[in-house]
Amino acid sequence: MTATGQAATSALLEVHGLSVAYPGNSGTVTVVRDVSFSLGPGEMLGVVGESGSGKSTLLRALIGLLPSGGQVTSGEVLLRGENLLGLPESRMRGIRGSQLGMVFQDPVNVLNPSMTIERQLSRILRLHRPEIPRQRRTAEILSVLERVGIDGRGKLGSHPFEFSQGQLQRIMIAVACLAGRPALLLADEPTTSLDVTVEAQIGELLLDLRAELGLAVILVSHDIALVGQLCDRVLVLYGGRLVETASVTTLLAQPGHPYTEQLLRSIPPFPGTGERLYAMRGEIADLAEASPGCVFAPRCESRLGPVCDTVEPARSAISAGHHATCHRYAMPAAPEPPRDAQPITRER
Amino acid sequence: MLRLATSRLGQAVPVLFLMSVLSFLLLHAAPGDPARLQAGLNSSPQAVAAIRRRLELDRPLAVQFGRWLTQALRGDLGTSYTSGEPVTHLLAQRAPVTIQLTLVALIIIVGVGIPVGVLAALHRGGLADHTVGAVSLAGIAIPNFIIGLLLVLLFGWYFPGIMPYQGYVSIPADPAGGISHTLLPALALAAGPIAIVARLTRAGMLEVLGQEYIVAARALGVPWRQIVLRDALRNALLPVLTVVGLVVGFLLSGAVVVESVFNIPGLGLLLVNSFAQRDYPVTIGVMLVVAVAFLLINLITDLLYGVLNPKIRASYRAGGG
Amino acid sequence: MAAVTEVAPAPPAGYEFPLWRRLARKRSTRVALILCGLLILLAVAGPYLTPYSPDVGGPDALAGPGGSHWMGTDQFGRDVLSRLLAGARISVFIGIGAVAIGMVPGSLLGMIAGLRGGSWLDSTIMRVMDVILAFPVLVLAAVMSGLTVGQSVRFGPVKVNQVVIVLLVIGLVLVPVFARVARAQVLAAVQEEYMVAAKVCGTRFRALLLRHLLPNIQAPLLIQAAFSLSIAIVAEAAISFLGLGVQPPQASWGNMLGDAQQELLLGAWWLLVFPTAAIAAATVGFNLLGDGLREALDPRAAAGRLGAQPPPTAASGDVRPRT
Repeated sequence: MTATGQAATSALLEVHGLSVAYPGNSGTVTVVRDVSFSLGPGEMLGVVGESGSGKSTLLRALIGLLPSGGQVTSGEVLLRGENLLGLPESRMRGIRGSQLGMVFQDPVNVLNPSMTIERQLSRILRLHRPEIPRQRRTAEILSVLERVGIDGRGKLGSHPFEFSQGQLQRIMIAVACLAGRPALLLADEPTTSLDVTVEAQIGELLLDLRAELGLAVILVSHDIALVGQLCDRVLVLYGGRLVETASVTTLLAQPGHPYTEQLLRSIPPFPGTGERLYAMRGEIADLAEASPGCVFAPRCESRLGPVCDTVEPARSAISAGHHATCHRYAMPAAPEPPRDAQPITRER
Repeated sequence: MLRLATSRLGQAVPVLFLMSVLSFLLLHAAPGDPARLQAGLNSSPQAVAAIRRRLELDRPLAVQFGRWLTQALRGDLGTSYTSGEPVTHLLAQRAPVTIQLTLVALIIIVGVGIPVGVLAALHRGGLADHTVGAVSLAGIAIPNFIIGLLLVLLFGWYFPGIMPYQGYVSIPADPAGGISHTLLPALALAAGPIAIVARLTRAGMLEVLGQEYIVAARALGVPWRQIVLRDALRNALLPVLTVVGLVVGFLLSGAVVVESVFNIPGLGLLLVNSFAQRDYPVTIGVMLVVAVAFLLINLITDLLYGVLNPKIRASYRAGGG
Repeated sequence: MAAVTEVAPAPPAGYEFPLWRRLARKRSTRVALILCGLLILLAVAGPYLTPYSPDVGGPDALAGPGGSHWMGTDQFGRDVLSRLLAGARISVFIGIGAVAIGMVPGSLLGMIAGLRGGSWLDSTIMRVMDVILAFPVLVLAAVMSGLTVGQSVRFGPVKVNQVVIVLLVIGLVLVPVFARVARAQVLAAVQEEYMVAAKVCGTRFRALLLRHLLPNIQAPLLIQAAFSLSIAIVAEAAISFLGLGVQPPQASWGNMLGDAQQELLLGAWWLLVFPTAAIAAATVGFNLLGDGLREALDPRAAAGRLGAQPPPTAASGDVRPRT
């Protein structure tokens, strides 16, 4: 399945068969397993899933900053055709910030608390845009801040704690997108810790920057509504596996994977519609317990039968650009087909 | 900032006053008669009485204290009963000795403790890390004066002639001789605090390196070296700084004993010898100097902490407490 | 600074295991328990084990270890092993006595100051504590003990020997240490929701204090006590080494080191090494015990947060962070 990147010409980013593992108490735990996708320039890709689904780990693996212990066990990450995995740290460092930017969940902890805003921005400018002369750096910083909607005059000497969360996230976006001008922004739950109103503003800011800079964005979020608003395409992760890939409209209208269906039903209904709140049963998959079957089987409400517990489903195309990893779509002639795997019934 | 400094100094005044009252009372309530000690064992009662009059020990205690305090405020701490020298003179003579010892020890502590702590944090579970663990246990287990005794045994008996292990030479007057004479006692003093500083630095670095802003700086392509030295170290050193005041206190009290081990004529030795002769003015003088030094060091630590911690600095700017 | 104030449940009351079993789970704490137990055993049984009289000299002075004197003899021909055992008793007596003297009034004063936080009583108590803390611990103890050296001291009809003086002096110096811990704990506990809840439920003041407050502040005090034991033992050694503490011919680890100093340049290593080993074993024992207690009683502090340390004193390795 790991197609080597010969066709990597039009895509900005191609990920093939990426797996990430952590050492656990009993052997290694694979938290991202065999994930493949690609991303075009200027495309906004959402990654959704519950906490623990591996979506943040996936982002960290892309930029080569896995928490200690984490290791990419297989796969490749091609950025404009260049495999980032296995690049020497010095080379990777040059790519970070200038070709790949990243913003994080909690902006309060993301800027160094003991450094002024000016110093934090100016060192990124010095690093990635050395052509700007020193005298012009402050002016550049002010203009960069202005573009994310912050009037920096008189505030450059301030420290992060003197700003609000929303302001900090804007500053972080400014640092990540404008200082180094990367082509791809990795956004790890950038609005989760913000107020609803601020969340909308940040979402808008991301859309603006995409329009303005042609920035591609991978937006990781557990908020399907937000992803639906902002993104073109969506990856659904469950238990470290890519369970569904689809365009936003398709995903919302015709979810292909039982997990996506149940996830969509879990969005609290708008008050007054008379719908009842739906709660998915069971707990998120314990990745330390390897099961031969589908990871979602224990919580699935559309099980097909014993095949779900014994055979790992393969990725199947439902329509163009719409894939799901479920036995539902398995061809009758799939290898070792258990007897009752054929009927594509939704309820058993 | 200035306000904090003045308010802290203001707080120190009653502490110093109470302290001098207490030490004065304590010393005079203590058994033993300085006049008799002065006069010698076989002296006549008349001679003892004469000395007592001369030293004004026959006046009421309150009068003695009032006299001492007014003089002290004018910068006169009395004269030594034994040598007749002004106490301030003695203190001025001995203080540089102790300061030299303490400073060299502090340089060793900071110069070794912080890099070792950083290395231990960066290579967790590696050689530096294990060394820190072992050395810090030893540094805690063996008090400084015993380390001093071990060093004297080592360089006085087993390897004589390599390092001087006795006496004092001033570094400004004779740099080479001064440093070699100060090295062993300073090492003895530094051993425990090195361990403290290294462990604190290690813990601070590990905590800071786990912070999101470190990952964020890496994600922005900031070089690792710069992250360690500029982002992490500065924030990791804040908790270390808070113990530097304590470490200097530790060094001061350690100096009292270590000076005895290496026969260094500093404040510690002066204090210890002043007991034997019931030389009250000298004892009180040394205690005052040590207390003032201790208060000052804590004040400086607090101020430095403010300078390095922007949150506190901002509250000064805003005019807050 | 990552001021992590997560959910802060009051942990001490009601664990699944008794304290000693939780302590014994960690290897270093087992070592500590063995060391401390051995020390106390020697302190109690030592005088019955000594092969020679610890204070009386014999014919061979400065004999090396071996034969009839396992740890050799000092310059007066006294058996080092016998003196070491006698010294163990002194060290344990002074250590436990001084910590008791520091802990009981210190904690009480601290609790009173904390409950009356911000009042004149609080500021008076803490100001007096500041005066004591204005000196390095060891210097103050040495000065006070030094005042009485070679003199007999009477408190009314009771004649007090130098050992008790050293004990009292070190105890006094420890008072502010415990007062600070107790005050800080009370100030924090009063804010805690369980205290507020207890008050809301109409719990009576005494029950509030004894059943709710004390159990929740005792852990840090106990931890501090373990560290203070090693501080006290080192302080005794230093004071007696200077000749200001326990007086010869009575043996203490400190004045044994003082004797050793005079013979160092003759290479009498055994005079130095054995007391050193004894002191090291005692300090390691009590320090590891303190660490173990901290881990068993206060899991949050054991996680390595710098904020949850016992207030440091200048005397000993109390300032250590957990790593």
